[in-house]
Amino acid sequence: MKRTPIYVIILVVACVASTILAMKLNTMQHSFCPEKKDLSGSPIAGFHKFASDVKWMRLVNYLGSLNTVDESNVKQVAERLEELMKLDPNLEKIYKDGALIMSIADPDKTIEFLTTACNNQYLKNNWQIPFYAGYVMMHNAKPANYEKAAEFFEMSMKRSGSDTGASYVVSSFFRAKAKDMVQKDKSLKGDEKLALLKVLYGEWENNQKMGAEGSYRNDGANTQNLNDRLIKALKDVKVASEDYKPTSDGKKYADMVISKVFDKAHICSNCTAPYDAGEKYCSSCGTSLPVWGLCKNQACKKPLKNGNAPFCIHCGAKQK
Amino acid sequence: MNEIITIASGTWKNVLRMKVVYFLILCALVLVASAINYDVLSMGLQKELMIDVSLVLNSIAAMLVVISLTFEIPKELREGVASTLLSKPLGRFQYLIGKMFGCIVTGAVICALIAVGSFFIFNMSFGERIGVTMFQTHLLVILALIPMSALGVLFAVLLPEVIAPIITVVVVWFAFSTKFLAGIPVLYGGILPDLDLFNFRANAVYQVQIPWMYVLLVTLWGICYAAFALSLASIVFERKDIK
Ligand SMILES: [Zn+2]
Ligand SMILES: [Zn+2]
Repeated sequence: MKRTPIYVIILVVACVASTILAMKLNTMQHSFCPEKKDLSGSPIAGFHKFASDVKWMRLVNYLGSLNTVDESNVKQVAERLEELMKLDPNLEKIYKDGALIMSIADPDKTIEFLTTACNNQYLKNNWQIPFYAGYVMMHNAKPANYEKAAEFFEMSMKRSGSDTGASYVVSSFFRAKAKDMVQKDKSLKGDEKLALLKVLYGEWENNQKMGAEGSYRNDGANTQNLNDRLIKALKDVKVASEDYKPTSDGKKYADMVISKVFDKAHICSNCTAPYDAGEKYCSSCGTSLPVWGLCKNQACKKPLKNGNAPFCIHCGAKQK
Repeated sequence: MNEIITIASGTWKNVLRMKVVYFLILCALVLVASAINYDVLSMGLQKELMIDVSLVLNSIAAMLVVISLTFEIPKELREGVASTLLSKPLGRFQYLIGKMFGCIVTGAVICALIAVGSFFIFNMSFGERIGVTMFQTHLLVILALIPMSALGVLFAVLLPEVIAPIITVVVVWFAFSTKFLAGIPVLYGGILPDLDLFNFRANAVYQVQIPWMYVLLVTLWGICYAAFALSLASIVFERKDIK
């Protein structure tokens, strides 16, 4: 009996120490297990991951029994996916295989799920999820929200870095931007090709302003990439195709872009084919071209080697 | 000290001598290995499934060891197994501590066997090295035995023989879901345990490493909580009439 006070002291000290420690540990675990605080609170003895495994396999089984996900069953699919997200939010397959399966039946819900995944800490380097979100926003959502889609594509670009395998992400980004511009700027009269050129030129201007540092899209590979895209867009605006007739506005804008971006690259203003020093007419379309790269010697005036050689190969005159 | 070791070693020898224990471990490992057959049904998540199943089974094994303790203590008291020790001044406290240590060691041996077996199966199945986090999470299952054993001891002396195992299971089960009380000092972590602090199965699957500092501190919490539960058990046990 006389030992009871000792036990009581141990009891109180241990109780205080454990509660302090437990509270510290509870906050500490958020740093390496941030999803814990959002997990389902249902008392399943911490078997969340296991419950998720079982539910995932049951979902796969269930989806296998459906011919297609449509209005009649999309609710059930969404519910099952939501349960999974509460149990195991880091499971990439919920979003990549699960949410996308209902992108046609319920694009809004799909985007909601994918947005959650975009904000997930563990999946923060996954560039495919924001890409899918942008894709669904652009192709399945009604009405399509191109501005939001471009935001998702931009997130995807930031995450993929200069991963060359992700160049279609960049294409999608510019296309979404162009579609957004067409939607908002009525003066474009639905001219998506011109809009794309404007978007690309805007991007080029931005890069120029920011200089070498700053932009994640501004390394060598991407500048090259942007120039290629610009040339293609210029061609699209200037050259008539089956479903497109160049407009005078478009041509004017394209000439402006050529003069700003490609003043040193020497491309034909009509068909954007590059041309060499001394050429007076485009070899692809016959358009008259401003001649460049001639010898400084007034009596010679012949084209220099590569257009910029330090000495003339015809008269030997020094060029600079 | 000797008395404690005698009681503890008696406990683990009792359990580890039984052949059925090894049979159950083998069954657990067969279940772990069977995860590899779920590649189609899980759409290629069989590796994740195996990691998780090994941890789930290990946790269940730990729980079973603690439950066996709640059967054993009342039975021993009824049969007067340790009556000479219990009549000594410090004897009752030593008996409880010994039982707790015995339970921890028994559980640790069984859980370690399951963990090592699972690592071996994992390595054979996927030809991959065992990640640090996988090791850590199995270690945490073993460390969780400290507060769980103390709880087992507490309920074994606090409650009648018939309901002690049931209450232990219920308390351990719900002790994983006490997080919503985290704002209430003393009650959270002090009086009510949070066994979820040892549960990082998702981390093992996603290979998000746990800081070793956390492992250290959570062990410390387990010890503190065990001290709390054991001193409470001692207060009750002192007053108990034992035939
Ligand atoms: Zn031309
Ligand atoms: Zn010359």
